[in-house]
Amino acid sequence: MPVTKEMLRAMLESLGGLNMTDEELEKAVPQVQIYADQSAKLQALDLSKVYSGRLLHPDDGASKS
Amino acid sequence: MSTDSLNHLSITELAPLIQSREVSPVEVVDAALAQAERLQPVLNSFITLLADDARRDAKEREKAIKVGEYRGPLDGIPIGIKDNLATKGIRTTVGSKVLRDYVPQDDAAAVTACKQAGAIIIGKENLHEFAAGGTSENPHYGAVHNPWDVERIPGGSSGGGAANVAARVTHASLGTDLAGSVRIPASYCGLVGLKPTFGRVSQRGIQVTSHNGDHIGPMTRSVADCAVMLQILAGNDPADPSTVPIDVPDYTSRFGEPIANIRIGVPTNYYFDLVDAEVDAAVRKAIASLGEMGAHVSDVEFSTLKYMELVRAGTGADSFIAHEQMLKDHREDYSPELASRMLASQFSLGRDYAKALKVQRLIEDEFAQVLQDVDIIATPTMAFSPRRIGEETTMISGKEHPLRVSGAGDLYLGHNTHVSNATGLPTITVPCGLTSEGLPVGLQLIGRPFEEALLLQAAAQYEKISGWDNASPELAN
Repeated sequence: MPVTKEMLRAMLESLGGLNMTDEELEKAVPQVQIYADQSAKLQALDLSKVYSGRLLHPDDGASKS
Repeated sequence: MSTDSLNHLSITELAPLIQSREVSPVEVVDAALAQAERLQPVLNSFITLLADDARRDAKEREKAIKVGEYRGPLDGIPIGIKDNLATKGIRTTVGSKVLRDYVPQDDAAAVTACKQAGAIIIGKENLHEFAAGGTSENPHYGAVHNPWDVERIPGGSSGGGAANVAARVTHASLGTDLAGSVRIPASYCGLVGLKPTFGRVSQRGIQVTSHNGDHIGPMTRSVADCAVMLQILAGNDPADPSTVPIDVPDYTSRFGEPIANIRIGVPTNYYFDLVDAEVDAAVRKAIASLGEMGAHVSDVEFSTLKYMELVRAGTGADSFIAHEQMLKDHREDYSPELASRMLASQFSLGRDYAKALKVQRLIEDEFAQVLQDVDIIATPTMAFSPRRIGEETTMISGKEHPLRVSGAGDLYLGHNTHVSNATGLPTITVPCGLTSEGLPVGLQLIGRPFEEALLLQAAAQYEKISGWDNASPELAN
């Protein structure tokens, strides 16, 4: 999906992001395009069996240093 | 002993002289400050030089040591602190114009640990703006120069610290590493640099950081000095919930042990992609040397690393929230390059960020799996040698490539280092040679969580036969 300056401006206006000048939006387009392209690569990847990395242990918080 | 000689001693060489009172911390600090004052116009490695404070602290340590209050191998040793680590009563700019007058009320936990060990802080060191890049070409405080070739970048973001240790100004530097910011400059300046396991060293007091993957680590001239620093920094910090309450081992205990039973994995993908031929040859020669010492060397593969770019995008979103308020209130004080990168990160979708976290977990799982079959993974730290200051491209095997920033392509400075921030695994870089242009090359070793002692053992054994022999750039003399 091609990312455009107008698309980004509309996102900022409707979602309340930090305001950006025309020049700043222009510079952001290629970087956001990369995010979109990378995300698209994941469409075929099954992430449903990836478990949470959050782990708590009974002694977490105890000082042993 | 002459001033020059003192500057060239490593921590482990200098410490017994200080302990036995053959050398005073005052002499050592005077020698370091003389070197700093001589080289600051060339390297631009400090933002704030603390000459008066350092001389005062050195006199205090001299007096204390005279009455038998020696604190250990860092006592009286001059070190530098990256200027994104909070120092009580001393301005901490984070390399930014926004925070040019910011004076913290407390020390970072790692700074406290160094002070308690008797280290003398001689200055706050220059870095990439907001520690958000790998070149240390700082638009507000000037570019840091690489002591091996002052026309080149020292790497970053902890560039000032690496330049100082390499140029024999300081004996160690405390850096921070969110995508390679300790290992990149350590490799480019011919130093040992360690990113410990996530949770091994308290992050409390890093300014303007990401909650996902930042680390504090030392840059030193030898593996033994690196172990000294880690011994002081490691431990649980009840005030930093990211630290893990497990015992701190003796990091030098395995130094003398042979590496005959160590299994080393060499990646067949990702880490050697687009590596310059000279770097590739130096790193493969280093790995072969480890094999000749008896280590079992085999190939390993990481299929999940093709998704690493999405993790980088996630890192951008993490950083954005650290900058959001400052971008709102002080955008004019950001360099246009950094402002655009940060602003673009606000467009990361929640869906993509959630996927990035899952991919990060996938990568962690694959490393855990591979590290059941091998003990250490060996790679180049950097894919190519340091480029010239101001250049937007780099040469790889004689061909020019555009250099792009994180989040904007595969070829960027943190390509080989950033993965260990995503996995949290301990990772060390150790010098393994010079290119034909006389620029240092680093070997990167990655280990299992909290197995820094094994990494240090392998690095120390390699260091002995590497032929590096504490090499220093000409301008250090």
